[in-house]
Amino acid sequence: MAHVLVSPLNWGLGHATRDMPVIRTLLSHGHEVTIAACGSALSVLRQEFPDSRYIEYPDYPVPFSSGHLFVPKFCAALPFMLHAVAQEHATLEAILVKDPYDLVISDNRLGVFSDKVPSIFISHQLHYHLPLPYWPIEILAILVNQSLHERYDRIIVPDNPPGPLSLAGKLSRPQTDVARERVFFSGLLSGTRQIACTQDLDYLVVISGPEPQRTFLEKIILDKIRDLDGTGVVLLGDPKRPKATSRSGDWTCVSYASTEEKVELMNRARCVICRSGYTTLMELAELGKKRALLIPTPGQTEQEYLSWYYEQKGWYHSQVQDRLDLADDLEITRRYRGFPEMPKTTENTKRLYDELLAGYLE
Amino acid sequence: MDDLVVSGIIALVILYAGIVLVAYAILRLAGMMVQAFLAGNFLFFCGIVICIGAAVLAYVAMGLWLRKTGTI
Repeated sequence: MAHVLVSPLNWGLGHATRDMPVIRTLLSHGHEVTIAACGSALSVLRQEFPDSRYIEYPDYPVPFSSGHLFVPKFCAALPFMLHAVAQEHATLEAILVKDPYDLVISDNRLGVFSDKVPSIFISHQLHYHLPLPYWPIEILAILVNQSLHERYDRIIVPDNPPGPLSLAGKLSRPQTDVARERVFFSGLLSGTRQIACTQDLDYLVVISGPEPQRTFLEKIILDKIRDLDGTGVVLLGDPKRPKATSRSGDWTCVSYASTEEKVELMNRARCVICRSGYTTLMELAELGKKRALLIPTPGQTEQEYLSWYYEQKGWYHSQVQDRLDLADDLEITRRYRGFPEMPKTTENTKRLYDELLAGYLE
Repeated sequence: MDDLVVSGIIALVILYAGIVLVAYAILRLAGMMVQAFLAGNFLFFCGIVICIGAAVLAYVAMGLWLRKTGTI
């Protein structure tokens, strides 16, 4: 039995939820898992794996902007992030001195690697996409990424290999020899699962992501759902509010839903309206949802790229937040065909364990 | 010092030096254009405008070419 340290980044719940199937697989093979995280990521994993050991392990704040100045603000935040990453790395060394570990798995935490213990990095972004005017920074980021990837023994990319089934497009394409030598395409990894239920909801609206854009979208959506025919649920995704449910006609508004409640609602929905965050998209793929409307968070270049990419592929319709016309946009979603069939999480985690993790643990 | 910090600092220095250089070049060119305009040297003024236009076109074309070839 081996001892594994799993450490997801706490920028939203996406990193924590996609690590759930990996942790579940490790536990099912009899390994001990210690989870090192902070904030909501730690809370969610604590709920899901109450018997595991936990370490409160702070990471760094999200440098998202409130408007369309993501890139300049991100550049300005880089020195602080570098300092935080160096601190994060020093903390890891202290953790590794206290307890013996056989493997370290970092989900997008750049300082979580070690020379003494095999270290694996999980990321769907081997390449950062920036708007065209910033192309020199995009090239610089390739070099920076290469330097980061060198510190890990392997990189797990929760995506299908580059090709017609790639969910992350150019973001998951390895562009340096360092990445090509280390990469393992696991296929999608999602914390959600298909459950047997009838699809009795016409729409599920998931309003998530960083503030203040979450609130802006909430206002836009609540103002426009009255124009829609059919039943629907709006998940406000705001854990700070007291848990409350309100009804208006055929629509229900829920301030916050637990992971289990969200899984059930997603399974029941015929059409999902959500941000184009990568974890949410993996959930759509896992559940085989054919109809969705994607609304990228303004200024988040990754979400904007994924929205554009899916439009090009004919998988899902996207609309920018400020130009959202819910009735028209939902009609357009009927012309899209959803993700093609692809291997699901259960199959992917089995392959991930057999072909990669077992080599470090058995 | 940790080599993570060293390589990070090098990348940041390159990034910020690039931003400072571009900002300096923009200010310098703006100053030259104003001087040329006030001095009535319209040929020089137009020359600078054409050079800026060509540089912007080359910059955008380079970005598009890198996108098209899959480099970025």
